[in-house]
Amino acid sequence: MSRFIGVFRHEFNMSIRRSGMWIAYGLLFVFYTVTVLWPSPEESNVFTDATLWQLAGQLAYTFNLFLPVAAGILAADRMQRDFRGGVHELQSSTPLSNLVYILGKYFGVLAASLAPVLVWIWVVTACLVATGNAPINLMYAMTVTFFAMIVPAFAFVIAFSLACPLIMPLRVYQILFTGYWFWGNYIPPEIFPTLNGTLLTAGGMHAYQGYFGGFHGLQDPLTYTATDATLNLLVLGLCIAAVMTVLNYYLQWQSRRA
Amino acid sequence: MKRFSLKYTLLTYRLDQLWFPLAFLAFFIILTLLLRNEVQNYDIARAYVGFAVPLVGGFMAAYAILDDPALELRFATPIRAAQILLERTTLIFLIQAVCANAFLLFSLIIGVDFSPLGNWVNVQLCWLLPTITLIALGTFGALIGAQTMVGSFLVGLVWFVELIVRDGMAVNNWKYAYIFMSILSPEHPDLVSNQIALFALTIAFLFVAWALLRKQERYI
Repeated sequence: MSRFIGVFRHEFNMSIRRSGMWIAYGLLFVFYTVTVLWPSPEESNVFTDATLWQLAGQLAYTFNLFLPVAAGILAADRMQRDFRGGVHELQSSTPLSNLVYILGKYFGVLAASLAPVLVWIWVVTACLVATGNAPINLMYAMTVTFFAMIVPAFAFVIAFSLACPLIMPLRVYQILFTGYWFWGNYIPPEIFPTLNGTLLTAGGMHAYQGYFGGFHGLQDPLTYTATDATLNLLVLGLCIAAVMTVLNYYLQWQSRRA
Repeated sequence: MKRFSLKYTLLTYRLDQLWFPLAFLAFFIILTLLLRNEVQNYDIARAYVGFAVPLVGGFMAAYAILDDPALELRFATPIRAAQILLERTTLIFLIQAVCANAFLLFSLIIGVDFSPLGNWVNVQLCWLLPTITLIALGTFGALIGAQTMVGSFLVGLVWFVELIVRDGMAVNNWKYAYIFMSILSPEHPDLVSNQIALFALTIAFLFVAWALLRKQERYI
């Protein structure tokens, strides 16, 4: 456990200090803060107790449009750099097992990617509450939607972003990932064959409709139920576990070859 | 010594800059042949030349200069910043140009009608302008952040945001920075202004990238 905490803490400290991450998040946070705090008249919503969960879910779904793209691109070099810099050879000479290394690395990057987002969400929500535009319960609702919609999306993309660049060039992965996020989450399945609408969708629509009621004021019936949302989270969790397992076998194979 | 630069570029050339665009091209050709749908053929052709080619070009450009293991040695030679910038970005652009035109040719052979996009020059501008803009943005981002990751992020973000909010981009002052206007809104009354603005933006990004590349100590 102490080894896991050591890897986790080291990775978290390295990731959170990256200037690139703060530039990326800074740009997105400014964009989102402006759109949340000063929406256009046709987009402005009144947060009441009746619509609170729907609007909180809508905000989280909107944040999931761009934030996981940034997190996925930025996380893509976190494990590959250990191999490129020869650090992994040093690590393999220590009693650190591959599984502990992978889990420490994964949760370190995940925590470093999510922490600024959670803090920023709390700050923006506090501003909405302080200016009288939302009830205090929004703090709780936003925290719940963060864990139900944003955390699974980040967890899913970061797992692939750590593993895939070990078997393909970094830039190739980043191109494929950016294309995937649009293709797999936002292209309607009626227009083009896509993962969107399946249980592999990571954008958060299943949880948004299943747990939080979908878009406020929309007359169409909801496509996904709470069961679909739970299945979606389970499938995403299984995918993450599968990626970690394959990565573990891959690193063991690499160690044997060395 | 200065003439040696092109040879160096070819010798140190990363092969994924070549095989990946070609693999992408092959994938879209196979997809078109598999779907065999006249309406979708046009959409796939637009998706490839208008979206995929600029994305690949932009990401490749983000890695073009700084992702060189012998960067410090290269800076120690009397090669000018403009020459490094030009030879690295031109090669990426040429590969994308070949891929885009190969796919256009393939589409024409299977009978795709590009007349909604305008004449031949307009069809060329549909991939050319977004590609050079994202190449310039990727180079600029990598150099201003002194990290390839910043360039990649900027390319990915701009591409993704403009694709998601495409309707909004076409109606306000953002229309001048809307890189997909030629391919998505060929009838837009401000199309020419948009194309001129994108070209100017490309020149501006490349100029700043050139100025940044002259300060070699930032990347060592």
